[in-house]
Amino acid sequence: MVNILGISAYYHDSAAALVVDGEIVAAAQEERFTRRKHDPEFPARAVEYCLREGGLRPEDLDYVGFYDKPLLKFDRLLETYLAYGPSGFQSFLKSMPVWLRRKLYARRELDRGLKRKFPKRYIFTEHHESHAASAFFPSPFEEAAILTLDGVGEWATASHGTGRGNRIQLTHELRFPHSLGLLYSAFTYFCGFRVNSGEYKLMGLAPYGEPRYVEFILEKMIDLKPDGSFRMDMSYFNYCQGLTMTSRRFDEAFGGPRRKPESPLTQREMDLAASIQKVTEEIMMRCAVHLHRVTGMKNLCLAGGVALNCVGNGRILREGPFENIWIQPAAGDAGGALGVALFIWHQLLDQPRSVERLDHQRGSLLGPRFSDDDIQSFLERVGARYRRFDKEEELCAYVAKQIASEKVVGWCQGRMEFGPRALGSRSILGDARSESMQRTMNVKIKFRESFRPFAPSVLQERVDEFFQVRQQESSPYMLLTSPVKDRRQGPSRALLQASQGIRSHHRLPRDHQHQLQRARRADRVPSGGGVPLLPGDRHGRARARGLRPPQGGPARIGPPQGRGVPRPVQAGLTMAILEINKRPSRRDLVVFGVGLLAIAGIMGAGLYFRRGAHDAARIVCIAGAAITALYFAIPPLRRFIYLGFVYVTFPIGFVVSHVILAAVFYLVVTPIGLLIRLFGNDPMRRRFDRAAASYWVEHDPHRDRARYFRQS
Amino acid sequence: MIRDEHRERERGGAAKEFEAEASKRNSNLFGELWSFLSENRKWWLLPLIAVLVLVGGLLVLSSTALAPFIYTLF
Repeated sequence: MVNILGISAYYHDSAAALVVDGEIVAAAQEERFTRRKHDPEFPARAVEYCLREGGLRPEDLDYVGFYDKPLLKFDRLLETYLAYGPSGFQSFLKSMPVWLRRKLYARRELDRGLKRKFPKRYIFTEHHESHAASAFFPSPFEEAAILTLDGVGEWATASHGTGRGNRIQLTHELRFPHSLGLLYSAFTYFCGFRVNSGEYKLMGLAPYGEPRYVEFILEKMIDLKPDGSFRMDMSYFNYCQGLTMTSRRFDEAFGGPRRKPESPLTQREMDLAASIQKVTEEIMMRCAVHLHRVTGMKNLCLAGGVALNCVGNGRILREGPFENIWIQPAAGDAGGALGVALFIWHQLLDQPRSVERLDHQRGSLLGPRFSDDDIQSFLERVGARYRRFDKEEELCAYVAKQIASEKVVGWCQGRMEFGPRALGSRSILGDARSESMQRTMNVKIKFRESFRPFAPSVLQERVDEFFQVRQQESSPYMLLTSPVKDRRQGPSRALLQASQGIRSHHRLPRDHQHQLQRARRADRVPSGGGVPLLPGDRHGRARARGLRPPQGGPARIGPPQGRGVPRPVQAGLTMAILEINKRPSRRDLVVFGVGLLAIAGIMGAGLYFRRGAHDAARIVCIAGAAITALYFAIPPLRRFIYLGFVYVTFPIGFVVSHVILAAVFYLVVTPIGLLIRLFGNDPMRRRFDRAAASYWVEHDPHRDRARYFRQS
Repeated sequence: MIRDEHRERERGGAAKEFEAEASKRNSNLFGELWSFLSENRKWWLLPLIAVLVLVGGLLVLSSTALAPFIYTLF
């Protein structure tokens, strides 16, 4: 038995995935356990869960893979500062501490995360290789073209290639800073939403606006080639050298500064959302057409954060040249954990791959589950009012009745979904026929903007009553939209249109039984014939005690005792240059005590031998020894003495560390950068080349497997 | 049939070879940085990386219990 653990961490959406003999046993995102949205920390709880699900300990693992190559990312970061210096100091100051203290030491961090119980070498794949592997290996295709569209990995921001049998090969890539993901994020930022999480909102806002900026974006901001490759005019953007996504020139182009977060949305934001959505779809379509032309294949696999743009995916399916497409449900960075694990099994260990009619993703239901007894004991513990249904029929009838009376139902069953979409395991359900349901769910339940869309579930055999879909087309992972048919009765037209053409979640088969059950529940909603369609969404911000889905292991079921339900917080991995350790361990205190004595000794020796101040030296040594003796003799004093020293010296350290980093930036980075530019070298490739046919560059293939043990 | 057996043997060989590689010791960060610079001939990054490694050392030390003494040494 070969046990492979894949890990993604330290940027956003950290996750772990366990593959045993090629089968996906478990996969989960850390945020689902910690309730920190997009949690970037080492996925300790997700790893713990995956190992528990597989009945393994860290020492039982045969391979552990990390989803990108940290040194190549560091190279890109340094080259960026060199290309922009003397601009960029603020960004340098913010990024360097976390790089120099953590990200550069990926192996050490992985060792710590696995409690130093994994004795072998770690494997590092490229970011887009991980995405590509997560898209192709679980797919239902023997061979397929692969397209990954993302913010940025190491240098690549998009890549394409092919998958055949048990191998993938990426052939071309687009390189930083020219990125479809970052372009979309820049507009997300400008419209007042959070980068890396507000992109969904921008997509949801798009149907309310007119795409009147499309021409401007295509003519001035980017140089788009017929094959979907492009370069961006970086004078409109600030993400390379600053702490914002857009520049002052961007503000001028769109009539003023960005919308302040939480302030009212105006027509400008809606038009901007519609425009960038249209541009994104255009780029995705061109990439798909190009890829079809160069590969001649009939299947397409998609991954990367941009592949969560279900409107763009729907257009590729309906209007593009490919017969079939499959999109990794965890298309963002979390999916990289699964990708690297499958890459090790198939590509590096050369193990065969079987193709299943549906796919190998197992409905993406790869997370933890809770037994009825777990749930009951939790409900008892928190004193909840509950009713137990022993027959599923009764439960479904009850839920259908509640939905029909416009109640909103929190639904938790089976294994948790892997990926950002709620597929019926941890969902909020409502009545699709109600005109007010969208607003009710958004404002009262999820505490979010009323325009945000919902994803309906619908029985496969009745999908064409509501949506314009191709025959046999299914969308099990809520990653495609389809146009809505014009119906006079049934589900709320407003709700469907607000769902912007629809994320349809309609599938049937045996493997996805509970999705089917979910749709069947909808069929029971009394509506004079039944509307087999159910809008729902994930429990993202459900704060009420009764709505919180049990997360983590059974031991952690429910909210932490005595502290109420924590509000989910947005996470980002940053680090202050210096941090005060307010809770020193016993070892820390001993080390500090020994250091205290050593420093007193060094200072005394210095005074004695270099300055000849014998009396002063004696005083220093005696005082040092006395303080140290006191320190060790009275344990309760230790923490106070330690913290006293820390607080007194912290300002000195704070100033000096900033001065040192400023000196590095202005005396080392800037001169080297200026010299490089003097010789005409621009690794950013910022100039438009109107005469060029394409901006795709060849991807350097790694033929040597040993290279995967390296971080570069 | 013979081709399948041959393919299986090849696969087994690849897995064993990779497993043997995986059981070796991890290379250290500085060795990897050096390999990266020399393979890609990005020598202009050398002074920058050297300085950053030193600063990184200080930052790492400053996150230990010895931090107050390190600040005062500045």
